[in-house]
Amino acid sequence: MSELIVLARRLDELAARVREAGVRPARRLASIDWQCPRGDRARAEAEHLRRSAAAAAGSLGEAAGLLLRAVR
Amino acid sequence: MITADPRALRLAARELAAGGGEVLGLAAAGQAVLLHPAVGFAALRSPASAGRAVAMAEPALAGLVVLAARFEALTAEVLAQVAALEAAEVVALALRVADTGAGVALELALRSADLPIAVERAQLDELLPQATGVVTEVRSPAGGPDPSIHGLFARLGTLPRGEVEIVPVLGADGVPRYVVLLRGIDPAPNPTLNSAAQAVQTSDRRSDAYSRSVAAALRLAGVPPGAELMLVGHSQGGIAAMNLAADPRWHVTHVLAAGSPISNKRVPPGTRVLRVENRGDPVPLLDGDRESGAYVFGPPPRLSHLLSSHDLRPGYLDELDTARFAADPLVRAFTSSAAPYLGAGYGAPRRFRLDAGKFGPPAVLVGLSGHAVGNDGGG
Repeated sequence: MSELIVLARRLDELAARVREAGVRPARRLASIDWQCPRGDRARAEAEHLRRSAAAAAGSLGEAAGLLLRAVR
Repeated sequence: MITADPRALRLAARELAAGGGEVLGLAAAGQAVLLHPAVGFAALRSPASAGRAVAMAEPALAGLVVLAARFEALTAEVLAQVAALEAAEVVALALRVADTGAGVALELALRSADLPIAVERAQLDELLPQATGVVTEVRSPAGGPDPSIHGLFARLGTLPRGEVEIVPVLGADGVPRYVVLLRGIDPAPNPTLNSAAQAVQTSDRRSDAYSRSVAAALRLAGVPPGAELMLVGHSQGGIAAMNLAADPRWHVTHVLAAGSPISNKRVPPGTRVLRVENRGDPVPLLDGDRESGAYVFGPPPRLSHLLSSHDLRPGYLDELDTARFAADPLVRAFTSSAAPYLGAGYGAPRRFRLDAGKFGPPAVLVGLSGHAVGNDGGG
């Protein structure tokens, strides 16, 4: 049982790192004064990446919660 | 035109590449968790919780592999831009700083050849240090402008260099609205923010001393946040208008720009822009592009008329008073949308002089009535 708890916590930690990995490109590209259509497209794509990463992180976090519930 | 710092882009590309690798690693680590025997047993024993957890995590982890590929694609896009910038003609900046007729002509040729223009931020700041704007209220004339596109530009043409006019709109619906008149550069060396050197900053930055000083003048005039604004600009004034329109602190619903190179400026959602360009005026081409969606008029450029074609009079004002201009579909759509500004009466206008003040970082209060506008780097 304690092994399952460790695995659930590991999954939760992975979820947080996925979320953070998605935030970084959007933050970095937003900080660059890159004025042209290509810059606009890149910023939009970075924002998509951030949302996709957040969605994946949300699912992994929820899965971690369900694993913990299985222990109890 | 491309404006970007290749070093910042290279750093972003490195981070993106690392981010893609990290996401792949996280996907693998997540798979290892799901494949652990303890999770498998738990899924069999408790399908409602552990079983659901596995069913939920599997597609998320598969999605991470796709996400890593998108990181890679974005890295390639950023690196392509870096390569283009590194191959660019940096000489254009020096030519513009020299501000000679030959320099402008050569730069136009470079831009029309669709070569990217690399603007190194550090180089730009060294050659053209950012001014600290100083905003001072000055005496305003008694009457307001005529509430028409021609009337607003005619009034703009009377503004002394360095001055901006803020005109309250007296609408029946009670919504606070203002028309702001922004003039273009005076090519002669002068201490105001309507100088050629400052215009380069206005064009290449999203926010510069001119646009920040206009914002300060709006605050000094008591324009409440959220008030609806129509910005009317000629040349550098049109560029500054686009900078202000992109600033979320202001609610710019309409921009009227004549003779302004603004294709490198983003039009925010909710802002309508009418660009007017005289074919004989070389200035709107300084961004390397004839605006699509612009009202373009007049014969092609003639060397002897290059400068006068850019002036409001004779370059623009006569055209703005023609039936052909009024009947143009672009103009009619804009006029109809801007009816709250163009059909109403105007209150007493207020004028502010925008001086360059000190160059360099520290913002200081200058004089009794002058308000210094900080140099926050803009960007």
